[in-house]
Amino acid sequence: MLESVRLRYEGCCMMLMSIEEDRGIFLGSAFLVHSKGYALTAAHILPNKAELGLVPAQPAGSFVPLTMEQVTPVPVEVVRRDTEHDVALLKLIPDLGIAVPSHIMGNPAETPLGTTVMSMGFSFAHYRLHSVVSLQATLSAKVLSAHQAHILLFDTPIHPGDAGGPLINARDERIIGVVLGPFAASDLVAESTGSKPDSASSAISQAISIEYGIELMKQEGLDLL
Amino acid sequence: MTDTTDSSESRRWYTLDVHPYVFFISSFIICASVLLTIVFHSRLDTLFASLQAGIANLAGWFFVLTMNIILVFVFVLLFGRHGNVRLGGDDAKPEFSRLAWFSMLFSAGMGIGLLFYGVAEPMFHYIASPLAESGTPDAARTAMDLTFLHWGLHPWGVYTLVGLSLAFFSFNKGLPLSIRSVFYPLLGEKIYGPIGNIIDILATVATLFGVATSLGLGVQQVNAGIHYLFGIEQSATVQLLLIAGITFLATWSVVAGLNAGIKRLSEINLIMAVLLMFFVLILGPTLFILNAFGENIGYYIQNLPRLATWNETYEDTTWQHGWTVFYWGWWIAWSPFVGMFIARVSYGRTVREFILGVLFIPTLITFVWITIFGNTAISIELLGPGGIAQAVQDNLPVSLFVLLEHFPLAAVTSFLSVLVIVTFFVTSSDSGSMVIDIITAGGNPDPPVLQRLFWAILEGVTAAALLVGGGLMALQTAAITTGLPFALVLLCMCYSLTKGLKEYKGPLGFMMPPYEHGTRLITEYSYAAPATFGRRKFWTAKSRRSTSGKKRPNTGKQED
Repeated sequence: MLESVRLRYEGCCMMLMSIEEDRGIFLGSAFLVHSKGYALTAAHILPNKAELGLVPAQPAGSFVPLTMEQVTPVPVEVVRRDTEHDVALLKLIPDLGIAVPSHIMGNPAETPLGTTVMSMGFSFAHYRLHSVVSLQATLSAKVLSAHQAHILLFDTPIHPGDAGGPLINARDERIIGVVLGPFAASDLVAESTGSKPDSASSAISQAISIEYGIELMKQEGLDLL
Repeated sequence: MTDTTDSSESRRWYTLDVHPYVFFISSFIICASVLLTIVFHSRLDTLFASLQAGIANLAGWFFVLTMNIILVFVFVLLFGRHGNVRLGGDDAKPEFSRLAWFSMLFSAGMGIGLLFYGVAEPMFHYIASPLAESGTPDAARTAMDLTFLHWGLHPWGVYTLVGLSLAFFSFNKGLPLSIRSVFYPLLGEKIYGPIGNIIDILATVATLFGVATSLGLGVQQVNAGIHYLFGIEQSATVQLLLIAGITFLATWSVVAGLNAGIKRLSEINLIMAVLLMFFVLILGPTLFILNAFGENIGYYIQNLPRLATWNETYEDTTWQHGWTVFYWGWWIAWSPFVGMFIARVSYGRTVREFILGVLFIPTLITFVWITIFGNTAISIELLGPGGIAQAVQDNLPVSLFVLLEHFPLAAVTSFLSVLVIVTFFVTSSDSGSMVIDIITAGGNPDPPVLQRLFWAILEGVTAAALLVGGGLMALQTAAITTGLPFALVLLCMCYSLTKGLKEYKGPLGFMMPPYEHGTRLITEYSYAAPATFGRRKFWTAKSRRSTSGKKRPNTGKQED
């Protein structure tokens, strides 16, 4: 079950980099969602103003070098950004003829709690380990935030580079969320009271429901297969 | 995509699309074998008969084991994680409706034998039971069980395996629709070389001889039937005319294409067969048949592991050589042909749907059929005046008509039976030609018309030549002896299919072509404190808007 999720989705994971002169600075993960060259990511990893590019992973399946010394990013622009729900829709500027399978979008509302999920991202690409790392978890909770946002909690600690990657229901092999970052209950208190209590590091991570990403795609006039 | 109406500029009627080695070498081997057989048929008859006997004696256990391994393998696939893989890719749409699909599966897979053996086989086991005292109710129950075993899940399991392998490697992996493609995970690019050619030539020759000899032997049975019914003489002339008629219909059907010809004939065939079944059910011992149906299936399920692995080890008899082992060899020898045809018509089904459709539905139809005809015969023998068992032993082809005479409207049902027999013949014959067409065209699922004509006619000519010259039995036995090497091939197929499915990424994985136009950049350490919450505020309620239930995401076209 998990191998086939990994096989199916590792090709969609991209490194989002900001292009600064001759250097590529890794920002976080992103994933392809549409054959017209669209990708989704988390909004908070995007800088306010920067030249951005996507870099695919090295062909997987075998041992690959730890670091890609040089990369050739495909330039992208941010076409839609939903900062409230922390998702953003990117578009590749050149028309490359990308292949995206159909039936990749899942339904978080109908995904039962306890379902095995897999998250994928470039966990350690900040440190120049440029490999897609997959993590297995169960869907721990589906939470409605004070803002009525649909948040998915899953029980594996993720790493800084994972933000912006897909969270995939391993049973039906469809994407149900965009990985945001670690879930810290203390932040909840901090947001409402302004003072942050001591927090133990949490082994729980959070993702935003894919429905907000789908909403952005619909606004862009993209049809979902 | 399937019929001949797409006669674009490049597809005129005289177009040829042949695999140079497979097409010509197969044709040569077929013609040479027919000539050799006609000249030496008495000697070849004994040679192949003793070869077949030797195989049954020494390799019977191997057939029994192989059939069971395949059935278990197919069940594992049914419940396994590859069940959702769609043949032809996620977006593939089935080419045929369910009814058309089932009709074609059934018509190609079982065909004519069922008509004769539906009555005859239970009778044989009833009067000479290997496991019970002959002629008793217990023998009747066991007779039905043995018949179910020989015609039930095991043959359809083999067809499922071959059909699924061919469909998967052709439709999902993009290999040619040909037997050689199944071995891609084992042989790699070598399948395009001599090994692949040999595999395809063997399959072509075995299929043609299988279909042609069945046609030749079958018309003798049909002739016996119409002699009994209408008094038409039993002679080579009548039989040749029958071959010509059936070949003509089959040729028309193959040339018209899958959609116009084969599909329609299969549907007609199934409808007529169902009609005949209904007639016999209503006019025959209805209650006895209905009682038996549940009981037969229940008994089959209870005894399946025991009977399916029975090897006569402790009895030290050779009953199975003529029955179980013979059937297993027979089904395996037919599996390249039937499997290939099943693959061709199953585009767009998922693996799970395919297994359910190919393993269970035809098995169920077969069970209904055998129950109706077999139990009617048994009821006459066990509770009525008897005489069917004698008829089966005296003249097998007419036993069906003898049976029908015990009930009202015998003229109608007998005539209907003759029609069903003929359409069964045509559907086996046209699907056989179609399969050979595809293989010898190098795996083109829609071969040119001229080639279809060639193979359909060659099939009829082969049957006619062997009928007149002798050697039908010899060549049929020869075709069945290919079951032994092919049993090994089937086991490899299990491994190959597992490997192929395991490596399967989906028809369209995510794919981004290489991008070389951009500037090459040097990567750099960029560790930044993980910004978990950034500008978001998920958890603090906004005073006004949060109470209004469903809220639209705040999104606007971003202007950087």
